[in-house]
Amino acid sequence: MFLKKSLWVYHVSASPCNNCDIEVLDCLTPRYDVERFGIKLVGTPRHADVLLVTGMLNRQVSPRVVEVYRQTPKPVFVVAVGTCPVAGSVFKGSYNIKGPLDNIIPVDLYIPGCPPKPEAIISGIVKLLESLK
Amino acid sequence: MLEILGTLVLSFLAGWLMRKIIARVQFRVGPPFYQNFIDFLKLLGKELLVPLKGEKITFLVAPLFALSSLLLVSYILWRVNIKGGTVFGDLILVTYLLMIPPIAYFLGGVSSGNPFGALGASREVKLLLADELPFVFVILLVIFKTGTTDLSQIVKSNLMTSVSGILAFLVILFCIQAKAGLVPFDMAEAETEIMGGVLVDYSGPALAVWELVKQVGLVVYPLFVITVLWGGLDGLWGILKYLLILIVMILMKAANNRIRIDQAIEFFWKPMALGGFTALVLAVVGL
Repeated sequence: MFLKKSLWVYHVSASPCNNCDIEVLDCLTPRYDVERFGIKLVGTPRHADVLLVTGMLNRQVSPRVVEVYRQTPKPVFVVAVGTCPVAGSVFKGSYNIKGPLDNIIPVDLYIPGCPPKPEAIISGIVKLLESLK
Repeated sequence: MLEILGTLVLSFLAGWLMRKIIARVQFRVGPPFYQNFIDFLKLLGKELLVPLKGEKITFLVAPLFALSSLLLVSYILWRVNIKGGTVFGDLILVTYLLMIPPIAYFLGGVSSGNPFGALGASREVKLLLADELPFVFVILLVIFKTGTTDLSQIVKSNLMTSVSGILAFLVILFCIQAKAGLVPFDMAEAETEIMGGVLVDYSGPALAVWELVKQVGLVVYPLFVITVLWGGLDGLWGILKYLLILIVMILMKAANNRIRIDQAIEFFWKPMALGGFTALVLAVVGL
């Protein structure tokens, strides 16, 4: 119930090309300012309510993503941002890929796009918040 | 009881004011006024994870230890400021009680068994050693100028009318910034650098108590400065004094970036200690 008004986000960079990460940071800038809704970035998965995963999840990073998911206190929501964790993007079928993300951990929200616009990310988060009601 | 409840309510508002002002400085809108309260309730409802390798009892008791000592200080300060008369504590007791939260912070960080927590804890203790020196100079100046350690006597005298008092006020502003753990002295919980430092393994209710400790600091430290140096909370002007100190702290946080721990020690042991000592000498001379 209170979760709806105060989502703390931990940003998991699972071997991204950095493009989605830049768009995620855009959400915190004055133009979009998601702190209005009580959303803020935190430094450690122990504080997080949302794991925001970007990147294509290769063999190196996938066990670490699972570990981060296990370390996060429940309830936790997993958000896949960008086409890579959603579907694999151009890396699909490559020999070093473990993704997409829902092969590894349960995912609550998919935000496709390469990269998704900040508007798309915020609209996705709003859908997540509505599903919490 | 009413005093402690007042401190808690005020601390949520002060915590919100901090986030709001920083957001406005950065041309953002900022969170609504009940945001910190919602955060607190949400954290109470989360899962509490205790690290396997940690010292479990110390890990869980440390935040309560810090919170109770800060609330005790706030109780003494409210009694002195509002009701007047005799209270059970004096300046020496309050000075010692203000040292407990950093020590509890250190214990919490070390007992988590996390390397980042240990790193943050070591920084916290170094910072405590650094800012205590000028802080003690200011306390000595207050005792020298008022000739007593009784807070109900100290609160009646406004020391800001003299040169040494103003110098001491400037010194103690930086000291409380470090004690409250705000930027530029937040290296013990540097989120971007050591993942939250001391707080790295805290989750759920324990983290909620730590967040509360940080907020209560925003009430207690300015109130302490007003009590010892600025003639206490006297009506509307007293509230303005509190807001002035709080906003200076917030703007200092908003306008600066984090400095390294060695720079912080150098800052407190060289210019700040010199400033505190100069103020003390000036007070002895009679300025």
